[in-house]
Amino acid sequence: MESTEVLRISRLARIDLDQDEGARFADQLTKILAYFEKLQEVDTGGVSPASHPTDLVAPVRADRPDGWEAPRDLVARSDGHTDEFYRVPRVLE
Amino acid sequence: MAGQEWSSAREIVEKVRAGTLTATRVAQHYLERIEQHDPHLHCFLDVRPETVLDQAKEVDARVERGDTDGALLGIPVAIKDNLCTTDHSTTCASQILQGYRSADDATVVRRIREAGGIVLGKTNLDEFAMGASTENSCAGPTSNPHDLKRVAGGSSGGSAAAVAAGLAPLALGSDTGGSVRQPASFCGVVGLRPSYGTVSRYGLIAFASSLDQVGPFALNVGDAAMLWEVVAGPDPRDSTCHPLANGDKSLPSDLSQLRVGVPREYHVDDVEKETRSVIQQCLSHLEERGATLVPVSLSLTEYSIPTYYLVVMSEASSNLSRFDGVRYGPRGRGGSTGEGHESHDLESLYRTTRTRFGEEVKRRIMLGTYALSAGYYDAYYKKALQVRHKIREEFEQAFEQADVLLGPTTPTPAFPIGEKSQDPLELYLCDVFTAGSALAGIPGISLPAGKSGDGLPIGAQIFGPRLSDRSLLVVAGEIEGCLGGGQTPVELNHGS
Repeated sequence: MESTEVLRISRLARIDLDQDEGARFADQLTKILAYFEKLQEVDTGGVSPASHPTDLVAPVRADRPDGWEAPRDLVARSDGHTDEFYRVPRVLE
Repeated sequence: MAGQEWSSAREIVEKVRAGTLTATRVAQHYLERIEQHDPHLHCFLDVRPETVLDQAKEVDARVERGDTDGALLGIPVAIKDNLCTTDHSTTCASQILQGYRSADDATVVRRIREAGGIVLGKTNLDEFAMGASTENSCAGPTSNPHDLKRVAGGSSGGSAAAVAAGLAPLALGSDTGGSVRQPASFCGVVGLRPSYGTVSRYGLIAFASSLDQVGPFALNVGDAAMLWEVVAGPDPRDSTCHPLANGDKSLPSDLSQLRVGVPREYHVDDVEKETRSVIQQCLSHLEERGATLVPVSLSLTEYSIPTYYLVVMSEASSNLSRFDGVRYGPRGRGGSTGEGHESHDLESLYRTTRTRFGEEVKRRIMLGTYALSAGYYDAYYKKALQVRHKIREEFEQAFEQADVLLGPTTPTPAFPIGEKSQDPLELYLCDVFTAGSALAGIPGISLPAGKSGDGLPIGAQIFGPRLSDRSLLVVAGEIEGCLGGGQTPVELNHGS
């Protein structure tokens, strides 16, 4: 993987890499991806992708509100809050 | 062990229920062990003795009133730090979650408390459970109680080592591709990965959602079963925890009726000689007890590692997008230390926040992003899902010939700290015997089966068909009996 490709992926992933990390990752990711190429040896013609280990369908329940006691508690765990409201940086000057 | 009045977690419950032992005495014992030994082992990230003793006193007060209900009455349980607990921080051993306090307990933690269990503390792990040695923790590695210079395994290394060293009678970990079974094998304890969908993940910080499962550690199979019974079962808060998935598909419990499948690909030259010979002895014991050994093939074993890593990296890149400084994680600031000026736009806020991820987490998010990106999706992610389908079918076919499958949990015993940390790919290869079964969603249990010449534990792994958890535990108990019974805590001698 070229370092320009590493840069492209880091932008997509919203991860800043310093120069050292960029160089190291280019080398390591190339090696790991080369190993992943092994999968091309497996014949998967006509095989459907299994994104889950089971064929179970997620159960549904009635869309009824269920009481939860802790909204204030939840807000209180943020960096900034007033009563049950979050404080966020000003967006209008 | 000197000063310990019980030989198993089950005995703690019996004695507390009978009034011959107090939960406070039990809690004090484990808190003292932690104080004495944890500076050398580094199993725990957060222990609050007062909170532990308060919980124990509540249990004792209940017992005094005659209320002795609860399958875990008075038992302290160590909890991996990717499971939310309201009375501790939950950090996933990551800088990005330092100081995070959850507003709710994970369902498994709530069930432990409701069963009279006590949350003993939060244990060390590889950051976001990404690793096989607990060296990727932002707080530093956990040592193996059998040899402090070696890794405890991972990612649930803190939980496994705590149980092995007698710092906790029971612990919970999570297993995505081997993170309960591999450290159990390295530390010489029992570790169960339950069938996918049988234990709630509500409150487990998501890494790879089609694989993550919560599982118990214990010194013997009976104790592991006791904890599994408490945490397993449907949960309306986790829609992947199926209401019908109760883990009670049955297997023959009598060894003389049992067909033990021996996967050819798990008994190869890549496995260290001593490990091969311990597993061979284990199979011979079973044969002597009347079990029928059946050769089976899991021919896709060598493809399970690339399949597994493409799936987990892709899922992780999506799951970890929530650590962006808005939903989770402290707002990132500019500069190399993240302590500079306020981010000037959303994009830079995300990027500066996410510099707090450790290197392995960044590497996996990057690879997952790549595998899901335009032009590469079919060649990597979709291909991996197709191979996953074939791996699942191959396990199903093996279970047509055998009731359970048995092989080594890992190709080698615990390796020295630092030995593999510079080469991520070499560390990925440690998962070769645990990743495939995780992709297939079947249960697997690692049992101590013997030791190497250096005194390092070697684990045998037993797989059952999907949803056979309860009877797999019965079979594992029988096999444990053949191998000489459960374990006792390691006698630690670190010169203090």
